[in-house]
Amino acid sequence: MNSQELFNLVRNSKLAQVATPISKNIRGKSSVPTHQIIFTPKSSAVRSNFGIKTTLPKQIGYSHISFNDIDNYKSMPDVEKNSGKMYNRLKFQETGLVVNNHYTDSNPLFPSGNNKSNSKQRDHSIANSLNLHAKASAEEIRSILEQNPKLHQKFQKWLLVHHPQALVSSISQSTASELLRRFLSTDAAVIKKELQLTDLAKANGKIGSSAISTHIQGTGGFSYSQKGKLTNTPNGVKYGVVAPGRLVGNKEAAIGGFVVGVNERTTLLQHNYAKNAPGKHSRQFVMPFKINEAEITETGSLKLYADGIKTGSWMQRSSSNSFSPDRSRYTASNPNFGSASERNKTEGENLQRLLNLIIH
Amino acid sequence: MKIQSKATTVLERTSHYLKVGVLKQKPAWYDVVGAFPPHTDLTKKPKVLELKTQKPDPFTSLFGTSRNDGTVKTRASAFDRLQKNNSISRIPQLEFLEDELRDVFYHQHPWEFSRPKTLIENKGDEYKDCDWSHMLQFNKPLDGESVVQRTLWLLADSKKNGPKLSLFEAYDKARFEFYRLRMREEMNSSVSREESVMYGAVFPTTHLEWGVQKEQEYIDVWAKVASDKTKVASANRGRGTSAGSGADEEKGAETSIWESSFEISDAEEVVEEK
Repeated sequence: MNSQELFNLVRNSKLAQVATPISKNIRGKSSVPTHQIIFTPKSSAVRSNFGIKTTLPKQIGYSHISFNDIDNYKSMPDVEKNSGKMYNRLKFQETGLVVNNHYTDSNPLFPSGNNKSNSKQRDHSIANSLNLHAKASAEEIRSILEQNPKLHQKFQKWLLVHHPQALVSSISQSTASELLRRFLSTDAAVIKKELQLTDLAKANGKIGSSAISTHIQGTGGFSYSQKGKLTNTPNGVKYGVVAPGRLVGNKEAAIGGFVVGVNERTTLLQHNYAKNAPGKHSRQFVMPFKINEAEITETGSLKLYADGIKTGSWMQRSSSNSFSPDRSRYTASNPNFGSASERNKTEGENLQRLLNLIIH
Repeated sequence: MKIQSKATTVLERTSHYLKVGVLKQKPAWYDVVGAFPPHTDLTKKPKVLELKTQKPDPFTSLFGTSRNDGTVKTRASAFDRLQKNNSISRIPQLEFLEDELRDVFYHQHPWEFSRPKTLIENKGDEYKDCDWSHMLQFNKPLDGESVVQRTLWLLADSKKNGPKLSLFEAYDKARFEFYRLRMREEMNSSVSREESVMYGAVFPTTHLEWGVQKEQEYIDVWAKVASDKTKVASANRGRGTSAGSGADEEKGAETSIWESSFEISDAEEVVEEK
């Protein structure tokens, strides 16, 4: 095999298709997956063959793995079992929820002006109009300025044509910087930093200081479900999402592998019950939650919000420990089971619509 | 037959012997070696070194020259012995545009890492079956690599015929094609699930239920350890400061967390209580 053959074999192998991990810590505390999850078919797993250089110990079995390196000088590849994040995603997919985001106005999964790869973050700094990050080092700024030697004279000329009043009368600092930004963004002769692919990747989990875009694209690959889908079940149309979870704090619950923020008022009863159960810890109780909202952040981590649901006979049990429901103490769960804030919102919308009708 | 030392000419010699009649039958390996002849001669031959035909070692030219202060350099200093051109002995790094694109895609879409991928391949030529004029492939699952390969194809295609695309434009085009296919995939899976439920399918466990069960296994182990430790702590607190060796005695009774096992009856009890 000559070197060109080896070159092509490496280039086209599946092993080369594994992207560089975001961090060195395989099962660290990251809220997003950092390593490619690898599986192997059963016929290969019985021979402990995962397609990496060495075979792995038998204890790995049929598990999913991730690796930092496939071999080192000690013949001890840096490999660990890793499948948690995969199941987190699958559990979320099972709920049928749709992720919202607050970092773009438009749907990030469809092409539009502001979700191009080379669109820069809007941070309104002067460095930003030279295609630099707001935290760019002085060195980088100097090198760009050296490429634009007569920037000041050009700016003065531009001012003379477009805003001559700025030359005769004194102007405030903010106006001056606004004018400069406008000049830098409109003038074609200004040499800006050319965006490179390496600016977009995260080497060792850290984005370069000159990088322009630090955020995820789309939904970060988490969920591709779209709004407005009606879910049908044999019992009728499904409006809410109910999932089992455990209370792990006053305001947090663990649902489907995520720590979810819960409305404290809706879980008071459950919390009290679990806390006062003799010989039990609150984490030993599994209870239903209604997941209201899922939001994906700019870094790819997920924020979930849920309400506790009042259900089951134990909630209606009176203090005398009889099983007859004492309905005077606890209200039954609302069949519509939207939280108070949600209901208020829909009612508010109705009212607004009515008011609009009256005004027009 | 004299003893032969040239291994690479074995085919040549054997065919000669066959022609002449020294060998009556073709050896078993004959056709195979004929189809794949050895193309590298691995025999080591001594280098013929003759006096005064080689160039002098440049290293020796350092010595014997007189320096400014009148002394003569006779041996190499530590600086001279230092290996200065390290890069010549280093293995060159393979650099591909694909690698950069792949890193960009996966770092912008970290959850794509959570979709498992296999590295097992038989011949290493599966890439030849792929046609990147469209993104969806018959013999390759849709993943980040599809975006990378499609971007490269779009770039090459735009150079050949059609409007010129920049790298970022090609990448964005491939990216949104990928999103579209992923959306379709996810919609397909949820619709087919819904359909089968409507036709009466019953799923034994969902991922959510399975996850709760799996958590329960660990919580049960932990609960046992925690209750033991709580007993120890409360006992020590009750004894006050006078009990010196109390803690050590209690520690002996403690069992290792690896010895306790998951009790199914416990888990069921908890589920019922919910």
